[in-house]
Amino acid sequence: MEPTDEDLYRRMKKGDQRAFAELYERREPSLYRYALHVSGSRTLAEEVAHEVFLRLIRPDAGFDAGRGPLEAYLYGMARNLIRVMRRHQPVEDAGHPAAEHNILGDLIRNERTAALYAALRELPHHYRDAVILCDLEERSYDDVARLMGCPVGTVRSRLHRARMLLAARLKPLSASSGVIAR
Amino acid sequence: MTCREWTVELVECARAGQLPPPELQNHIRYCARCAERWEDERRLSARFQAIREAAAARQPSAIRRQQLLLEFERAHQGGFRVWARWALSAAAVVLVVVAVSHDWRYRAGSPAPQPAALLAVPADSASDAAAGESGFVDVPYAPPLATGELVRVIRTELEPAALARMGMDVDWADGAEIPADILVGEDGFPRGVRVLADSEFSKLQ
Repeated sequence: MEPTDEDLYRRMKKGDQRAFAELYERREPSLYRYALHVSGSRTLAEEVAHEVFLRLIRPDAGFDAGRGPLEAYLYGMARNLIRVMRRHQPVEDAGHPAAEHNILGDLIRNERTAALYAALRELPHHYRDAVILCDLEERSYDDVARLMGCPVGTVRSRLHRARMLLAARLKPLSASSGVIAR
Repeated sequence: MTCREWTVELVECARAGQLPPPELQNHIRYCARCAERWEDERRLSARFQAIREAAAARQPSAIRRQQLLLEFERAHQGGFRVWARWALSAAAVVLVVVAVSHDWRYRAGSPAPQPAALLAVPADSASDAAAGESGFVDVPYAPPLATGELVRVIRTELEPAALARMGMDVDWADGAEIPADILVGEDGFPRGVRVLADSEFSKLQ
């Protein structure tokens, strides 16, 4: 059976480097994407995902398994770091020259994606988290409810409300540049 | 069903990339508001799909991973060093405490259970005593006391024959034991004996 995040955390706290590496490989990509979707910046997302794990290594890392899952703690840490780092650096890295993932770079530079990220940033954070986790990370309602610490019905209603707000915000852009559909 | 109820289903269909069920399709055909919402939701889902695909193409940085693993190693080695420092310091403190307490006990002369009262007397005065000033008589063939050696005086009762063998003049006609002080060196051997009057002995008992 695959060890849980909490098992890996306990092992890494005892000095097990392989447990730390496994936890990193398991959670770093989604933390990076979360930070990217919240901030719209690849540079900042890389920094945030790295910093979350640096803080997890510290002896004073304040994770308490009794208060919720480790993954929720990591997302919470990422959210706070984004807020702090945004005060110190510009939001967009449109001219990032050494992008390893150019498809994403191109997409971010795309006007409609930039508008979507801008609209996402303006959402209240619990609406934004519902969109990111449910629609961009494709997590189930149950999973998201566990991570956000609220009932499934609340997640669904937040998501529907958030999508309506986003659609309304993006409507002028869609109207001016034609319809994008599957 | 009301538009509000249809909307919930409409959003879920757009999210799943599915066509709405026939009843909802009929409703969309006649309700302009729901038709517009359906188009909005489809556009949004398509946008999300593009972002998901682009984000999935990202490769995590091997350099950053290596940096973190090194940092982890450093943090845990550091932790061990701190732990070891504390352990060694604690062990040193314990050793000092044990040494001091042992030394103190040794100097104070821990009292062993004895049948009679013990009196500590400095070696110099004991030597003087042994010389006769305090009434102590040397035990024959006993090694001399070293300078500064601590001695103890044990008050007890001795058989008259034992005192007589040490050359002491005692009246042992009735065979009763005679009260006496014995001067004992640090090695536990007797160095001198002093016979007591009966009254002195009963005072200290």
